[in-house]
Amino acid sequence: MGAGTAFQNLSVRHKVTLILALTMVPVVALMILFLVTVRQLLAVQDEVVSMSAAVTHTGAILSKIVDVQDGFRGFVLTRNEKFLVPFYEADESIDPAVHRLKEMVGHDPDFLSRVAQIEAQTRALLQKKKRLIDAVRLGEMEPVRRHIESGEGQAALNHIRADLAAFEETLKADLKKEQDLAQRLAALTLYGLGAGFAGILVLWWLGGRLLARTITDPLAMLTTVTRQFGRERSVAQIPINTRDEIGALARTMEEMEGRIERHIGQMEAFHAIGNDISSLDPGGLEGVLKRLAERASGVLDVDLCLVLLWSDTIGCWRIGAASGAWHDLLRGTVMIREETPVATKALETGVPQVVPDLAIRPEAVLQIRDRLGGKSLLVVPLRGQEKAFGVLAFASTRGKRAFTDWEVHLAQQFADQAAIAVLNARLYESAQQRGEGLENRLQELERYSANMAHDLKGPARRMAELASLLQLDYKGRLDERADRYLGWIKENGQQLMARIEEVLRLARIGTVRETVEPVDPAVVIREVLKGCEEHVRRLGARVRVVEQLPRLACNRVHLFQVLDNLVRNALKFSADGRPPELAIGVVAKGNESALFVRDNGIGIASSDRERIFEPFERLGHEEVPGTGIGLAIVKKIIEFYQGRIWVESEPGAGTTFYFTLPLYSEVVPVEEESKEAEA
Amino acid sequence: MIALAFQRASVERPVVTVSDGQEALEYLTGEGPSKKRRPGELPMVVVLDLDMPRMDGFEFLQKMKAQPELAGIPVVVLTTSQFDQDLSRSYTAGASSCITKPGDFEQLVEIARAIETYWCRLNRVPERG
Repeated sequence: MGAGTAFQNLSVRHKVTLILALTMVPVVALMILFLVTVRQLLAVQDEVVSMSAAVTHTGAILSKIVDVQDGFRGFVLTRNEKFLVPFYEADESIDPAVHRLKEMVGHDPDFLSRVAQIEAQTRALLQKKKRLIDAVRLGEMEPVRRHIESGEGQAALNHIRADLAAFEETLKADLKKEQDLAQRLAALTLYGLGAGFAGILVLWWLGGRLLARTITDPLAMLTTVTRQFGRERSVAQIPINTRDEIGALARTMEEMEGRIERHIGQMEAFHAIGNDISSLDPGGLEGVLKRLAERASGVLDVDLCLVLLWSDTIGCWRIGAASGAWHDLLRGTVMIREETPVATKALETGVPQVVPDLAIRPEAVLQIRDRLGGKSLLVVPLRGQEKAFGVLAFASTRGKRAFTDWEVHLAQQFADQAAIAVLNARLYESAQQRGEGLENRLQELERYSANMAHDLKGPARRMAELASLLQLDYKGRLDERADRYLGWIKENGQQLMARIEEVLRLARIGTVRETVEPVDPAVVIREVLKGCEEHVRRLGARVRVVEQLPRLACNRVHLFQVLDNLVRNALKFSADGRPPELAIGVVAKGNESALFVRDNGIGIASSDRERIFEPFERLGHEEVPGTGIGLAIVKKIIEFYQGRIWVESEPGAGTTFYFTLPLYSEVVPVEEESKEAEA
Repeated sequence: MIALAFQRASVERPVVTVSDGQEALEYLTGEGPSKKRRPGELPMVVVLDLDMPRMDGFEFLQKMKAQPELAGIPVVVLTTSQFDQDLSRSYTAGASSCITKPGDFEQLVEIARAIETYWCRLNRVPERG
């Protein structure tokens, strides 16, 4: 365990070196061992080769000695020089042969002395033989005979042969020994190599495992964790606890993931605040600011975040919102300017203020320190278009803390968002208040005029009723003038009532939803004409109506009011002494169909064609009865359906009113301005 | 004015006039200090002008219709205009008929006569137990 920990704490470079050393040292050792063995094997092999050569040589020397003996004998017996040829040949070749042998066995002093001994014997033998041969040539046979008879030569020869043979045997035994050694060495080399390789493989495997455990596996894990973070954004503790570079990398990655996570959190917070601001909910500004304070205090990891709004009117801070439970305690309360110097400085300078330790300046009352228990403070301004109008104050109550540049930057971002929210809300609220004010005033005015009209009608009616009562009761008892005056009073009262009734009718259009239905204008026109049948007959008027009219989509009563007003109007303003001629029809104007009501009456001057639609405009025709509100009602109805009404007229020759109302969706043949109407 | 009209219409039946909704309700329930009516004798028809001081016509109508013994009496409402919301409110509150005041005394007399003819002679209500 101790060694393991020590290994864990090594740097990656040292680990790799160690593992390489552990795997390479046996390899090198094995190779050296192998080389040594091979060299030895080669030496032994050399030995074997020279031994076997020596054996062969020994045999050759032996055969030459036999040749010497045979040649000598042949010459002695025959005195034929011919037999001496192999003798000399042998004599000549023995020396080099022995010399070679000496070389071959030179490494062994024992062998060397034995060869030297054999050489000496052989030289002695050859000297002896040469002397005898020389004697024979001189014809002295005696020494030869003695030599032969004594068997001295034979004995010497045999001795040499025995020595040689013994030497050969020794050599052979030695050779055998060497060969065995060579075989053993070869086998050893083979098995050694195999075992060595196996060992090296095992070592390498172990080394590889170790390498994987210390380097490859942690790297793979880092890769996996990083991928996972990229995919799921789950910040996990990376289980790599080594103190090497990979461990450091893991710690760095953890920190980095944490930071990325924090930054994403901050971005999400900003995004959420942005959404919050752009969608002002019923909670309004206070809700937005509260959520902003909540998020900001979370992101900056402070205990308290205050949104302070500067009130110019009272020269104090109003707390717009606060994070957490502080909100309900502090919301709407006021902080004194003198007790919030840091916030005031931020407001005045428009620069963030950081106070890592609020304990300084103990003599002054600091609201955030003394009332709320703040130990460190960061204040950033809420910047408006011209100057700051509030601040965002972040306080740490648990302990002192510094604020990094990045945190100040973040706080300023939050402050900017808050500033936008406040400005938006103020704009929105003021616009809404203005809108609501207008609406309310309008409604109030409408109600007021309706009430007024309603209230006026009672007295008008009573006036008319009383006048008619007086007429009834005192007719004939007063003079004629009084009767006339009473008549006027009654008429005026009734006129007033009628006008008020019309005003109420006008006010009603559009305020009450009437049913819209398919309406056939022809039917409505018949009703209208029936209503003023008496009038038409009295004036001797002629009314022509086009047979086929398109169906309209509107309220039936509305269409009745429109046509009734227009027809009565046409009958009313007839030219003197000319029976009215009316035409009602439809005409295509542009891409819309307009109904028209035409008369041959007095006409309307072009300067008056807009005024006639205003209420109570009678254009000075006091002799013609009417309330002066009929056309206003018509116009209001037409406009209620987003239609148009206009007038074409030639003073003295007649007037045509055109109006459009929504056509009921169906295919209807629309006649061109019909000939009948033209006529 | 309508009382005068009833007078002129030569209606022989007794016509009781009260000046506001409160008084009318007190008369009908028999609780009020003024205008004692004989017990067991309820009017055949109530002619109601919506414009009254103290308690307005609608409040009177609602209170009257909320009392079971009074709910069966027909109420004819006299309105000022046919185009304001008084008409629909009157019918919703339980009015039996609505008439727009004409602005002519003679017509008012005719209306009084018609009310008498219709509601007192032709109209039938269940026998009161």
